[in-house]
Amino acid sequence: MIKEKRAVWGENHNESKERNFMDFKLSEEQELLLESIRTFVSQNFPESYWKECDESQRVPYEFLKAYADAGFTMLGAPEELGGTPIDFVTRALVKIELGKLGVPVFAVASSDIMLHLVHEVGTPEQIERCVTSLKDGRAMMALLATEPQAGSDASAIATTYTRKNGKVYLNGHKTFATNSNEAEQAVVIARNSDTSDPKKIFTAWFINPKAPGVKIENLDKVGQHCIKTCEVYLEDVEIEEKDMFGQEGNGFVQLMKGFETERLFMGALALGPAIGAFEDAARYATQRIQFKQRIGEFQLIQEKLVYMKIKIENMYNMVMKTAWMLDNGISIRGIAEYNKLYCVQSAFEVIDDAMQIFGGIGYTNDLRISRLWRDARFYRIGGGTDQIQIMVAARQILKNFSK
Amino acid sequence: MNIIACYKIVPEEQDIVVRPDRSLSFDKAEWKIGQYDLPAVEAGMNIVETAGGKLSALSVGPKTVENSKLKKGILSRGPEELFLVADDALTNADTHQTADTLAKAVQRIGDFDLVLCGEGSGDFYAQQVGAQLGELLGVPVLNAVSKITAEGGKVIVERTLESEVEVLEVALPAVISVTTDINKPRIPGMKEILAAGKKPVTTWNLSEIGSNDLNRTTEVRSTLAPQQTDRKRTVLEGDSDEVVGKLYEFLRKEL
Repeated sequence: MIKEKRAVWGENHNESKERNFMDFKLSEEQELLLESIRTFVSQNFPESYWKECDESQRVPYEFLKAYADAGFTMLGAPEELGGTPIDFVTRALVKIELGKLGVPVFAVASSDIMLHLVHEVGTPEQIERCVTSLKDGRAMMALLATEPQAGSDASAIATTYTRKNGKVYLNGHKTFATNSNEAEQAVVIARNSDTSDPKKIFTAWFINPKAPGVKIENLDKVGQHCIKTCEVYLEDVEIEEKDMFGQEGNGFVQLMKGFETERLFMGALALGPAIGAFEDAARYATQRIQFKQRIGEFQLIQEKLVYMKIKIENMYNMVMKTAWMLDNGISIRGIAEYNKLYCVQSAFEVIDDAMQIFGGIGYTNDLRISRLWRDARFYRIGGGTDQIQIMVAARQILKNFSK
Repeated sequence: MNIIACYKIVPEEQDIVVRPDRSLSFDKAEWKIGQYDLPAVEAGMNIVETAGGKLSALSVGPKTVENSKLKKGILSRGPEELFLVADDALTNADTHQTADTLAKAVQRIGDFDLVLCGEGSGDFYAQQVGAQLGELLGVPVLNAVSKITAEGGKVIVERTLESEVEVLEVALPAVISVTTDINKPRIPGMKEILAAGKKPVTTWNLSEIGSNDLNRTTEVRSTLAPQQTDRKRTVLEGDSDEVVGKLYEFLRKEL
């Protein structure tokens, strides 16, 4: 069942099936889709819009609504959910394009990563609730996994669920819970208070974040201002058995499956803004005059531009290859981690170098580079820190070479 | 209602290279759908969506009109069917030849109630073709139309003029050129893009539509970019009468 569902998420629309697999050219459909994305953003959501959202730390509701109305939010989702099935390569291309145009992609176009998981393990009602939210241009759901003492070490989760009088009660303290005060549903990972069997211990539950017993506080972040990240306190939050998300005891296993695709897309999300920053900086290097010449004539700037571009090429190739592997049913275990690690680090380096090329003006909030720089730092922590990617990837290498 | 929306394939402005002799090179140019023609297609879709009927698209030009991405591009904006006259003899066609080819293609398509054009082409913007096409087809022709409402067997149109809005009732069939204000063309989504590849396309060459006579009334001798002059970088400092006088002299000499 799960396998069948996976297949529809990776539907391939390349018009010619016999295309050589080393063909790096985009299909006409992909080019037209990217043109549509460019027109959509440049006509309606210029940099001034994002600057205002960033400064006032608000959710870009207008964008989310328009993006959903144009049918872009459900790109990649199967037709049975009212989506348009496209392959992972095309989905990654859309994310890269949005980022290039200055759209804070993580905040507005990353919910489909989780929709995939909801579709796989959710009940029809849970799927319906998430899809309705997405189509209305609202946050799809919040994920309440991390806790103050359980960050990278998710096994230290202390939030509990307890069965009492035919109901289920959640108690605990969650943090870094994206979208909690925006979404109409949240998934909570909690520990079974009645068992100590490590394989059965964690279960995911659907809750309404506005239910009694839920207290939400906003966190004040360095960047990623277009999306809310919260502390969430759960005190005897009453739910029912039907609110279980996936199977009992499967809370983590099913989440891990979502992580692989997340790691691919995190690479794409980080790459887009890096391309945008590079283009801004390269243009500036041809205009800014110092010591009677364009600063691009200085070899120290040239070195920066060249290495920035090489990193962009590498990131692009890595994201595309990883997406292509998913499309062709090849396991991305290990590869997903290299991809995420390399892209988020390189993207931050590229944006940081772009800021350096801009000099003083780059450090002001007049240019978008400051926003891109603040936002990019997030990717090295969110979705598994750099160090966790290394840990997982290294484990895979050692496993492959152990006798 | 049977509607035909016309469009022209034009070069992407950014890709046009000015040669040292000021002539223009389109060798590196990507081709695109003329931006002023998109409102005509959208206007056709709006009528079909409210009053029913069928919208087809039509373009004539050199073989570039057959570009597969451009065909999908126009069809992703809504038309059910596409007709093309692709013939390299139409390279640098003047407005009369273009209108004449369009007229023959429209007649070949058969029944029509309304032909829609943009206000001018995206490249040369002569604003002639719509008017000439109406004349050649022998039907009422209107330009500068900023609103169209289908009503029974006719259309009510608005023309936004300098100080008034003219409202006219037009008998069909007719040819109407629309302004860019008439609507905001839709942005095709993936569903529409994928569907576009499956829509029918009919391609003719000039002889197939019975147009062998390339009787050009005008001929384009050359198209040149404006002469560029280097900046003189003369800087006058100060604000005394003497400096102002000097500035005046400089300007007078240049003008």
